[in-house]
Amino acid sequence: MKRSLRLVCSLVVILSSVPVVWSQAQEKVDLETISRIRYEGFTYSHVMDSLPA
Amino acid sequence: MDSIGERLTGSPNMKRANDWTRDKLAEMGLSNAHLEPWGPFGRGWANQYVNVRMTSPDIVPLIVYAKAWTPGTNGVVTGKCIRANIEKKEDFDKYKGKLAGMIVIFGPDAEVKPITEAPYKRLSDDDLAKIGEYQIPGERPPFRMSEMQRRRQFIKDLNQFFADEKVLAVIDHPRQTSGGGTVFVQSGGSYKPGETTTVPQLSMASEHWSRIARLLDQKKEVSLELNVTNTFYDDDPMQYDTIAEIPGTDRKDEIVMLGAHLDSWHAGTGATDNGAGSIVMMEAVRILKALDIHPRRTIRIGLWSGEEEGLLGSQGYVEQHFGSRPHLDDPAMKDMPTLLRRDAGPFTPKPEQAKVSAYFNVDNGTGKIRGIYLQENAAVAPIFEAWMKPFKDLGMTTLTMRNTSGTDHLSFDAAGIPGFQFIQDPIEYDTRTHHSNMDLYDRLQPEDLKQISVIVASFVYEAAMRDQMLPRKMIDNRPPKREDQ
Repeated sequence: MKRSLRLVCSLVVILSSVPVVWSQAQEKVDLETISRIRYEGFTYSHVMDSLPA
Repeated sequence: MDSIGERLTGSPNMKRANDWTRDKLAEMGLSNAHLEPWGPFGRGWANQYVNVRMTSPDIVPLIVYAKAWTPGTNGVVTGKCIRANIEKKEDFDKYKGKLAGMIVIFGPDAEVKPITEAPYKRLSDDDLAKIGEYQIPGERPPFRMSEMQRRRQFIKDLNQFFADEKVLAVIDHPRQTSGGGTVFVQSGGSYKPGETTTVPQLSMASEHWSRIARLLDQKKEVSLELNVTNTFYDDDPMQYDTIAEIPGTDRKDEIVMLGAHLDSWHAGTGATDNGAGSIVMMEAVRILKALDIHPRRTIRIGLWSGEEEGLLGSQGYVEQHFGSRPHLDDPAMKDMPTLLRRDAGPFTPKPEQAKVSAYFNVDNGTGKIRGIYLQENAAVAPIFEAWMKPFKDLGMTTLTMRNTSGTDHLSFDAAGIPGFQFIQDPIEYDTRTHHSNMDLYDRLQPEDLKQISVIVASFVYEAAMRDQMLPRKMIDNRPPKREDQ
């Protein structure tokens, strides 16, 4: 009984994670480049440099 | 912004801003930085001097701004004031023969109310949840094309009436309740050749306008002294968009675009509308260049002029590159943008239209990005959901199917190109800066602008590197439903 309950629980966990895995697999996000963009944009921003012009 | 100043389309400052942004983008290392003409637009205009003071019953300087595309006074003039509130053509008779040589204090009573709520606002979770709710079409107010036509015609008739009556000048007040020296100023006449109004027009701070109006209501004589210098420019009827690129690699024929309008109204320096959008787009491409990104698709930035006059610069660019609809037969509606020309016939695309994956626009002031409008394109929702995830910690959490309007993404959307505008915190956009004399550097929020630049750079990067172009909506070629149908 305990074993079958564990099996059911495992199946539920696997099945419920399928759509998440599927959607993540559908759209790749390049987190390494995003981190570099964040670093450049927040650490070395020039956004206010144009304004005195 | 501080040095070049306001950037009214057609003004010398607009051209200086075009040249400066082109040179700056080239200096950043972008390729093919150039200006693309669109038009003909019409007459250029700029205000050089304005000084108005009450000379009777008191002597006092007044806060006032010239309305765009209206003439100056040709030196110092003085005149007596008279109140007039003309809402419709039938009201002309009431004032006929009474206005010659007078300064018309124009409009209904100004409603100056105490400020009981902070003029500064960030979107709350509740606000974002409401934006996230889609409004089904039946709940929307109908598009009132005929109302727009009637309004345009009335303004023409009114300006002609003032000219025929030989009015010395017309002074109105901003129809907002904020007061406090903030004056919202736009145009008073037409920029089209042959339609220039001959009567000087000004907008005055509400409290000053109300003082004059109260004195007149008490039957007291009020005199003003005016000195307004405005110049019209007719040397070049064409206007320009600033364009530059980061070339693509294996998919270089395909394009991802980002843009914002560079033009502004003339009483401030257009810092939040839309200097903010322009500088974050320039910063986004600077970030990508600084990281030596080699995008698969070509990334193209467009800084538009003519937005404030009806999305004209982006519309001109889209028509030249991506396609258009026929023009409407009605001469009064001939300059309507493609998105308002569904009546005129189907959209005819040009080959380049098929090569544009997406266009991203920023034009809602200085506030940070809180989400993005999907423009009813459900197929992009899971894509943007994934792209948005790394920015949850920066406050970007909301996708909405809503179709937001009012700015240049619509020119692309109307051409069947996925065009998007971000959801932004309002900060002081509606209360203080949007089209006002106080739209200046000090109202910009540097941390918010950094956040916008980073998010835009990331969205553009992801779109440029993706295996497929972004999914598209169909182009609706049926005539739109009107209020009279």
